[in-house]
Amino acid sequence: MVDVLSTGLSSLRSLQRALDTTSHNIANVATPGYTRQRVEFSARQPQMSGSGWIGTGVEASTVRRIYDQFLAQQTRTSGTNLARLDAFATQAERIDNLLGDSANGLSSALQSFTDAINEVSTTPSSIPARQVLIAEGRALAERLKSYDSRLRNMSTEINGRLSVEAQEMTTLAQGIAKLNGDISVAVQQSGQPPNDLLDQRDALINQLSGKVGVSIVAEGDSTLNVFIGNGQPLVLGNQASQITTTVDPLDPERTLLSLQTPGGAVDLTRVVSGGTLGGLLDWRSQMLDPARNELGRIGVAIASQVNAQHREGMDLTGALGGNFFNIGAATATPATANTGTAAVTVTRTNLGALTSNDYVLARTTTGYTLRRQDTGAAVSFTGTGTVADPIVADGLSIVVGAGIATGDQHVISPTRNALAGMSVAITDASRVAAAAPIRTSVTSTNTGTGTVTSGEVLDPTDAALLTTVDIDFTSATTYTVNGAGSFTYTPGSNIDVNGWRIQVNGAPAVGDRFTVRSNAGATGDNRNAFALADALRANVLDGGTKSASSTVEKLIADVGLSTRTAQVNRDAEAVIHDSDLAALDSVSGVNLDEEAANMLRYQQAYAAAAQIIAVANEMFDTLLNAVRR
Amino acid sequence: MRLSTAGMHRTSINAILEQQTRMARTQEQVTTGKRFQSASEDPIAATRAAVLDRTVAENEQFGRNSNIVEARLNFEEQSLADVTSVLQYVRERALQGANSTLGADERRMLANDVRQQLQALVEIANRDDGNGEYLFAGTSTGAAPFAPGTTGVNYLGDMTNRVVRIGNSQSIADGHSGADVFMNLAERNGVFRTSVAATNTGTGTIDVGRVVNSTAWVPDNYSLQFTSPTDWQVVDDTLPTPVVIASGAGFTSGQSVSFLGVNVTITGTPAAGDSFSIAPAQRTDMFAMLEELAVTLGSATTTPLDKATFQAQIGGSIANLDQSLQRASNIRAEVGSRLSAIDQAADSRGAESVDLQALLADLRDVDYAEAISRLNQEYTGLQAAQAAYTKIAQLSLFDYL
Repeated sequence: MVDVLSTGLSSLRSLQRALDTTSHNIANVATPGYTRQRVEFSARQPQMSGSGWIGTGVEASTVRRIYDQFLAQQTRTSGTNLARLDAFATQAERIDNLLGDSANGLSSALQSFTDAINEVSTTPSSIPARQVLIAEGRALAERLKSYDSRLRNMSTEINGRLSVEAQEMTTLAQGIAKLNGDISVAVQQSGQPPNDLLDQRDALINQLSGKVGVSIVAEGDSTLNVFIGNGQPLVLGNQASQITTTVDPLDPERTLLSLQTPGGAVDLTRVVSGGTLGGLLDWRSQMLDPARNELGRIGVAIASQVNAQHREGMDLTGALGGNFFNIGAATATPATANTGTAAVTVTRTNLGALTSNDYVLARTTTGYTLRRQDTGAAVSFTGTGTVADPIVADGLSIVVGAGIATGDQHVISPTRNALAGMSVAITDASRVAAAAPIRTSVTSTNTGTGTVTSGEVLDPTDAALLTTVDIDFTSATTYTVNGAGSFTYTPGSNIDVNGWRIQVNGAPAVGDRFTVRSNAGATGDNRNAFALADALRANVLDGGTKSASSTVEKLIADVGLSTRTAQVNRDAEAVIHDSDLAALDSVSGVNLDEEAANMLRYQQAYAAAAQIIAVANEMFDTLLNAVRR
Repeated sequence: MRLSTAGMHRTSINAILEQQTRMARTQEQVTTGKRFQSASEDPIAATRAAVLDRTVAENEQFGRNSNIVEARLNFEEQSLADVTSVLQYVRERALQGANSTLGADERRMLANDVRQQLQALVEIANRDDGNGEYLFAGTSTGAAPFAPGTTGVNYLGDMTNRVVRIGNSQSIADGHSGADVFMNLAERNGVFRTSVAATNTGTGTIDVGRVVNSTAWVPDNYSLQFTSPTDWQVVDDTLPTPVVIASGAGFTSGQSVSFLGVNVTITGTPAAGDSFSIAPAQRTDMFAMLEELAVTLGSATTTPLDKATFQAQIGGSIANLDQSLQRASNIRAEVGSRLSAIDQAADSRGAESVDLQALLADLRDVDYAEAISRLNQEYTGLQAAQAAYTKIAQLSLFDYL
């Protein structure tokens, strides 16, 4: 009877635990990261009697998490990947939307500018057409600059996000370390798993792995160690390290992520992968920086082409055209750790060889090395860096000033800062150089059939370019230039004087004169405007295979393609992550119907156990009544 | 497989969200008419569309360029037509003046008429294109290119032609400089100039002559001398010692004399010692030609020499006018061929534009029938998903406890 009572009691107690756990499960049906729990029943130690082993009831041996470590790890990995791809795709979409907008895009601004040049070419004496050209030039410069500053802002934004994320990661690491300590104590005290603490720690680790890829190593005392990057310890037992941000010694514009260890700060930027942070860093180096540099390169191509041609023209005031656009120069930034004081000057010398990369020029004991900043790949170059023999690589000419020290590094940015300095140099419509600076004429009394071409400018800087020059034929085959010399005449051959070139064709007679003079006053001349339109259309980039506008199209296509790839990858990873989550959920998630059934089951069992107590009581009463007589 | 309650909800909600996203995209396609809104949605089509857009925009610009060139060439064509009618009118006056029955007063009136026409010609040469740009100034379009002065009409413009692009590889000059049209004309028959010597006493006069064999002609100064009324010789005066290069006897009026591949005809009765000069043609301009005609018409015709000179001069002037008319017609032909080149370019641009628009539409425009049926499908799908979710989510065992 005592046994029956005791058995009934054990059953009541155990079932109460089970009902507790069931209600705990129901209560946490909406708790993220909650793992359903189950009471493990086991039969108590039986008692030996003459008739054999008699059962003594039930005990709740433990409350267990229904948890599959393998599935949890898999879910965490796909979560890290998804977070990385999602961050990349989200940011990529921003650039895509920025550049791909065809109505307000770069292509249309460039086209409007080209159209305005054409308008000047058809009506060169029209002041309104020239004003439109200047306005469209400004609009183009502003469009490029606004894209550049939007991209620059995105870069600054990343710096801000890195520092916020660094703080959050430190907080998460500290939380994990504290939970490690608590769990270790709880396990030691009770020998039972502290399920809810484990869930909390898993939730923190999941949050952390959403930000950055981590690897987890379990220790014997139920603590988990967390490593970041390629093995840098973030959490060891109940100790957490700090993640901070520092300024990139090679680029003051950007922030690096570093781990504070007892041995000093370790740069994580290049080693972290996965998670939101990994995605942002990948995006910065794979999309943002190249897009910015490429935009700069497009600006440089437009400005160089237009300026070179514009300088060869003559404006309405009779003066030679100057630069049409201002454009920022190629820059060299010394690393903060440099010990030398040398200044490095970079000039762009070859548009066709210009790339959208940044470079690091480093001084070695014997000379220099030139590497790409993003990949670190060596770039071949010629020259020794002196003024007489500059370092020439990828369309750049680099001169290193005095005071360079071994180990000094300079970051060479060919196009990154070009757009910040872009503007239209001309404000006065009459200063648009639509005309050619020289004109040629055949003297009306010439008796031969000689004709002269309208001439082209070879060197607009020649001081005597606009001086009047007479070419007099002293015989059918010889001529003098301004009365001097005697040159042999071959029909159609080049006559180069004072920075210009003409050709005389046909058969000039003795005494015939051809005159080259300044074209001042030719307000209707469009020759330079015509050449400007052609210069803008010319294939000058990438070794003379691409024009500025086709480079714009290529940039938009590249960005579009990268974005598309990122989106496809993200969507694929989302499916994987969803199925991982579903698999994990199917093991660990709470199902209310299941809990309802359990509740019913435990309730019934509880009622039955209570009945056992009642029966025991009745048995006892029966016994008492039997002996009362 | 066991499902968790939260998982069930999440799966259903995700499915609904995804359907909503798809529907929003289709809806955007239908409202904008574009298959993609940003390059990433279809990078290849977007890139091709961008290139085609550029070609379309360039073609439009070439079209605008062509219109401006065409307008200016039409102006030029009109001016050249006016030049031609002035020259024809003057040529009629010259023919009228050549009629020996006219008196001095009548000829003076004709001379005045020719001077009026000369002014009209200068007016035409100084026309602008309606935008204040002088048509015949080369590229110095800001100032009137022709200025009458004491030595004739001077050309102040330049010889540069303005070339405008009207196609990817096609460009066209939008006019001719005044030098091309009015200046630098060979006088008379284009090869040599005949005249009556001022010392002649006979009534013989000389026509403008013509070139029979241009390779035999040597451009020197020659004189056709009559040693008697019937004997003549041609002397090359350019040589240090004049040399007789041809001679003949038995001359009668109206007989043509041939030497060095040219023919000249002498009419009337030359006296012994009379001579006629045949010199290489000079380059002159239309205005000077008209002025020369006016001077000839105004000259006296009293003596036989006057008459002979007048006949020779007026014949020369008519030849001059023919040279001018030939020049005007050549330039007009060139303008006409440029205009037809512009038309051809416009035709091929038009055809290309139709192709490009069709390509662009294929690449970028949404197929409405397909998009709307897709939208309907997605709408039905979303409705079903929502209905299913609300039904299933209501089911709970707790309802039966």
